[in-house]
Amino acid sequence: MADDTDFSSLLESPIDDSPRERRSWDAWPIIAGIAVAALAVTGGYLVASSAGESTPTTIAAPETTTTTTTAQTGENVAFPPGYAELDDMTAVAPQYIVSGGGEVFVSFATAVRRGFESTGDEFSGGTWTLEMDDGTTLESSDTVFATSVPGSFSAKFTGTDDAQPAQITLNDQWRRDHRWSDTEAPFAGLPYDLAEPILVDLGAGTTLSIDSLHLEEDSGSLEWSLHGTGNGGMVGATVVAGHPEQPEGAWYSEGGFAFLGFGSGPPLDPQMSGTLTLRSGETLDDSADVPFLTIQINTTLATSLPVDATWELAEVPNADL
Amino acid sequence: MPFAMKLAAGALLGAALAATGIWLGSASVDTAAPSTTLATTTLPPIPAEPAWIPEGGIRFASTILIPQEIDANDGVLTFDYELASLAGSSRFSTANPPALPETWGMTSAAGAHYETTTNPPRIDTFSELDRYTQDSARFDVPAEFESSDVRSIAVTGWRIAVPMNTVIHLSSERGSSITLGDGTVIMVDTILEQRNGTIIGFDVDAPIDPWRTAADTPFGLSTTFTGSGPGWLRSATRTGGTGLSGGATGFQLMWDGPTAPPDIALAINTTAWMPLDSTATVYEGGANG
Repeated sequence: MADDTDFSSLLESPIDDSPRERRSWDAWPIIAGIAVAALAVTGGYLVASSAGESTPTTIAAPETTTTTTTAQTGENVAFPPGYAELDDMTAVAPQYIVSGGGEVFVSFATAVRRGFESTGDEFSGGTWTLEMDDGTTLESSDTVFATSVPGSFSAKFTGTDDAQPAQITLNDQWRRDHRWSDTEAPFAGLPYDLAEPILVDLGAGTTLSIDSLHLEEDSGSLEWSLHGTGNGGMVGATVVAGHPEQPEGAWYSEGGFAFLGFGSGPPLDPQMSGTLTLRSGETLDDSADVPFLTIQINTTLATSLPVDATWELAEVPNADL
Repeated sequence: MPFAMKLAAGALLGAALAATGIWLGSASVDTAAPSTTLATTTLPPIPAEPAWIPEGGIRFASTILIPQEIDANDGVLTFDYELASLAGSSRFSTANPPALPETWGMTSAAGAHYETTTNPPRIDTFSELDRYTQDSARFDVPAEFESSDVRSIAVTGWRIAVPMNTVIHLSSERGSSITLGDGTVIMVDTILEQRNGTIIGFDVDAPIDPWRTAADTPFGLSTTFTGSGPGWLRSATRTGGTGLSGGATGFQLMWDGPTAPPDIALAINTTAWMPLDSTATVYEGGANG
């Protein structure tokens, strides 16, 4: 680890950039001095009168030294030094590098503006380029998130042990795009087999093909394949079928298949395919007077957005494993 | 280098850094005379909005440390503080900030140095309401030591979160195991083959390390195990028995097939808390400071 690195930027305050903000901590020695001096007489009396009682006494800070919270609007507050904005509300900065065994993890910390509320489409990874100090470059193999530390993530690279990371660039960023769609198919009752494949445009350059669908009274199966150039995501399918002889309809349990986790792995493999096992669930519809079959598709895809963010890594602490 | 070896190397690095921490303070002997001042000092109040650095807060990366109170009692000086994160939002607020304090140094007015360490706060200490977590650094001091005897308190070492992942392989036989570099043993314990799927149970025996499983139950959130590649349906933590502090003893994977695949590709996602020596003074003063 480069323990002689200047980490001062890590300790700089984000409000250093805000001339409207006062930092009161510098005055705390004075505050504490005033407080202690003002209380010394009282304290001496209490100590003397309590004959050595050890119960601590909480002392409110004198009113004249109590600081006032200064409300800041997100729009007017700069992000701390070293943070680059991904959007109006979010910025990230590299905070640590771990390398060894042919892999490099560049850890980032997130900062959000005051008033930020999750809308479900936050940064979900992207493609990165790592420039080493010998001039070589690496393309990212993953963006790793941590459930227990959601304000942190790492860009992962594979392929070198010899050079030191010098600069990292985020080429594009992925955001979550949630979509729902329904697909109808001719249906005459159970048992059922889909006559021909159904193609569903999921967006973000990805097409879902429902290659086959077989339904029986209590179970079924759905063969699927994905085509396109998407960046990853998840797809879930619910099959609902109804027939006049089965007016209550038959609901087949929702199944899902993730063709890639967000930020994980290379772009969508166009050959990705699989079989989704369906199980009959509770009845949903008691008014079917004509046969119907609906395939409900819910999709969460990673869409790519442009970004222009580059960070120098010379001052970022690092460790070799 | 395999991921397991990386973990071992990380552990060794952490131990080495801890042993050579920059706060090489001298003996914790203080001869300061008893004072008549009160032992507890309440620091200025914190504001309600934590998204940006509050008054009195110290920022380290995206972590804000806000001093709260100093209390000396019966030979223990307690420095209370709260932690908040610049990533304070409805998505980011209910877990650890990306950096946490670990090693501390305190200098008395008489010039004596004291050291202490803090473990990562448990995730259940966090409040979604105010987005802070509370913790304390405790220094062993002479019995007569009082808070006014403190000249300064500093965080001297931090732990930085580095999310990492890797894939390991196990053969699908009962008793098949792999030992990771940090001593964690993962073993195939049960294989339950059914018509519609196969449930594979794994035992995990992990060494106790508060930073390895920081802020939550063992491999509950800090470390996740999932099947890698198509065919794996879901995973779940298996609890019960006398496992580590959270009661978790292993995990289960469900395979979409009546028999287990011969090769189990296991994806591990974890967070390495890397040590970093960097000093930040978080408190100065006192009557004798």
